[in-house]
Amino acid sequence: MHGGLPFVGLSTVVYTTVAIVTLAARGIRRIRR
Amino acid sequence: MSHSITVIVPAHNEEQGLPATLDALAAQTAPADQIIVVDDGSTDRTPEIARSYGVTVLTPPRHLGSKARAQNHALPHCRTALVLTVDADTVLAPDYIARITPAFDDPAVAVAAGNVQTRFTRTIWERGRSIEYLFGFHWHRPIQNAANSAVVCSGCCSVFRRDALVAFGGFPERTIVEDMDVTWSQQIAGRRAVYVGAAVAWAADPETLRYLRKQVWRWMAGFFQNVRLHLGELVRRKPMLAVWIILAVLEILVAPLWWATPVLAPLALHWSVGGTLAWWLGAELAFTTPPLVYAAVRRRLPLARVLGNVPFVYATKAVNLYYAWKAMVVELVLVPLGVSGGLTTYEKGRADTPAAPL
Repeated sequence: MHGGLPFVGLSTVVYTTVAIVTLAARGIRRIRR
Repeated sequence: MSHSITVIVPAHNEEQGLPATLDALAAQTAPADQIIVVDDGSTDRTPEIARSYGVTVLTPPRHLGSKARAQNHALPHCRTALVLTVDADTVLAPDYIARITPAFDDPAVAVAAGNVQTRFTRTIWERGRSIEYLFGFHWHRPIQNAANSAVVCSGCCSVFRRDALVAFGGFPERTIVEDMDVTWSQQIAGRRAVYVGAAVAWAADPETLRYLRKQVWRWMAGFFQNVRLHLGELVRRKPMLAVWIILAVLEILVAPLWWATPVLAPLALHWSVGGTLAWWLGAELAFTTPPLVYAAVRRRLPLARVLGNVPFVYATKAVNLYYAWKAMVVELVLVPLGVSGGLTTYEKGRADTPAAPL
């Protein structure tokens, strides 16, 4: 199984949210260092 | 840190695809220590072709009939720290091994796989699949990786830490998709599964509906077999991975309603047909286009060509959705009720010989 396009779009919203939160957390960590 | 590596190529009647696979392995900038082709019941020139490349050819005494079994047949012959499994119709980029093995500098990493791309984009099914891969490998996978919760390390080009794999009992034969089973099991056991986007592999995807249906049915049935087997433990031990999986199941559950909205909303809510369709299409494009544009830019692909392939993905999505529902009903309802045994026969699309049940 290689993964594909979402059937509805729910996952796009969740994945995008996780991406934003992860990037923000990394940015905050970098600034604190 | 350098890592010794053995390549296992399971092959059943792969005389057409095997030369390109072995050429690519021979051209690796970081060559493998050993290459093993498992000739599993081939009736064509697969073993002769493999021998002409000077690789080790293993021929099981009988047709094993599944990729996991063929790989397990080769596993005792591996002595290296890592094992790379490559499908006999998959071609690795010359730097695949060089780029993926550094992931194992982290002793917690048990399995890793790279970025799979479509080798051919001739038919509507291949074009649709190329869009699925762009989305999956440039959007879903990197985000799963950032959250340390890979959903699957693709079996067509996965690297395994041999001692962890052997301790696990080899490639699992209890489900029809051994790659997903290993990926989830290793993470449940506290090890890591990682995605290495810089390591590229090209897979030959189904060019016909007949072949696509077999592959998607196998993938979907395998997914739900793994859901049945692992979901409880995943929720307890690897909740972020459980989130991705529950999300995928929710998508499958809600999809028929979403796809019927352009018909249902005008009938039930008296919305205008044109307005409903425009709203539905707008939402579809809003959910899918931005990640695709991002992927096309990352891959330096012509945007017009990528967006031109988007309509074809609805053909593959329809096949995916049909088999997702069939698999969900069979594996999550009928199998627990004892009404069905589920999908146990590994039938590869291009192979002409029926395989034995698991």
